[in-house]
Amino acid sequence: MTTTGKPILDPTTDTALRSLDPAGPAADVHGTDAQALLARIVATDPAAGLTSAEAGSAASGRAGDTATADTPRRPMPMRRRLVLAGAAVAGAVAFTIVPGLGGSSPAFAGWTATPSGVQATDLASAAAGCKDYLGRALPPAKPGEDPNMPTAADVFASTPVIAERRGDWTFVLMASAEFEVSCLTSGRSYGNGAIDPARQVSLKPREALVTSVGASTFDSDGYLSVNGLVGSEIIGVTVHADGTDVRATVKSGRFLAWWPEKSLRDKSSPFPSVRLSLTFVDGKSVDLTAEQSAPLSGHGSSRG
Amino acid sequence: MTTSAPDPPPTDAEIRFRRVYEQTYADLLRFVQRRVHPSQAEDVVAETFLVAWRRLDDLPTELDDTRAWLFGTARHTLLNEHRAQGRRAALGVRIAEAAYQSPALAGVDPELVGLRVDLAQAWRRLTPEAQECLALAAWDGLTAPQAAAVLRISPVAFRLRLSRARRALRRYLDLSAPSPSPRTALTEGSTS
Repeated sequence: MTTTGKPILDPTTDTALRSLDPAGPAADVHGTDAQALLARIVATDPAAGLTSAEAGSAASGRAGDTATADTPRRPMPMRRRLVLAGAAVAGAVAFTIVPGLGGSSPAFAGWTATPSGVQATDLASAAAGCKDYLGRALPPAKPGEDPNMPTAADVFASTPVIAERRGDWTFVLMASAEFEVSCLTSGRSYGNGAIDPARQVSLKPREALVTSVGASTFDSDGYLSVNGLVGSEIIGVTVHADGTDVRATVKSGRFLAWWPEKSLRDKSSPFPSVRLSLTFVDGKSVDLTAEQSAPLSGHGSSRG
Repeated sequence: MTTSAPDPPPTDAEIRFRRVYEQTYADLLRFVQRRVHPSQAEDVVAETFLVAWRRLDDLPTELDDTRAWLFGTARHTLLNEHRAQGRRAALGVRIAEAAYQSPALAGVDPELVGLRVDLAQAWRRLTPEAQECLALAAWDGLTAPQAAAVLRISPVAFRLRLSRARRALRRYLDLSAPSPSPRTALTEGSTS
């Protein structure tokens, strides 16, 4: 096992903490159970669609004994449904890497590079569903000592500030005084949401601020999103990423865009390379590279 | 036991997978044991290695990165199970019972005993997210980039979460410090 160089708290407390590791002693990989599992796995065709029940039986000899009683275990690969809804990600740009279990079906069929608006009734429904969905993943109220950690109450206190529709999917960004909550929904399913601290900034007319860039999952499909703030003279934002040009929704000083992930990221570069084109009210425009967008997120640079 | 016929020569893929398995099995099992009941841990490990076998080309080349990949896959499997059972989407991490663990330690240092009790109590007050960050750093011994890969977040985001988790744990520990536990003196002498 590797070790991190930095103490968790202090050496004494770290020693105590490490002694409280609930894991058992290191198992012997040459033991009977471990070797039986290995033999079962390598005897399978790696290209075959094995069921996880088979994998379970390889470990325990009891096929599917941890599956729920009324349903067979899912076929492999596992679906990438909801990773984590509740984690607050403070700071400039929050990323979530898409898991390495890619689906092969056409993702987000009907998605459009140009967004459409969201009807008020649809928005209310999407917001309510998202709040319920994300709120259930969070503690109900402040634990008391960590004001940075969002709670279900924070989610329910948020209200929609910008939303867009692309094909069958509605992306809604909700904000409270403390947090911004983003959520992708088809009305039946919900994507992996994100919660970011709210950014209280005052932008100049041609300044922009990227507040969040994320890669998330919706069912088994990956999608990427970016949202942020724009000054009053920015009337258009186009996002370039993964070889896709996505026209963002711009409304009330905010912009928002999301798009299907085309492929799993190269592991050496797991984050999307995002460029933005900003269009100003006088017709001029400016492109920002990914490198330029980073300082944007911290300071709100003026361009063009 | 039964006897078996001689095995055919292993393929390159099998050789590689066996090497990965040998190098990571114990760590992966412990990773999972921290998160689920021990009776379920081997099933999750089996599913994880099966995914690795089927996606061998996707495995990173470096051992530490491979371990993080496996941890992330196992965690995802666990989250799927949680969701399938209608449970919350965050994965808490267990902590050992301070009173029953490491009797040798307990016999040696009463201050450490008190600290361990306080730590176990403080741990249970942490959010699942904070528990995960601390566990990845303290028990799995991952670097920030590796832990970030497990959680599918950026290293920057992980450091931020870990920083918050540290503060929360310290705060909970300090809350229990005025108690007449043996840890009080230790805290005064050992922390800033």
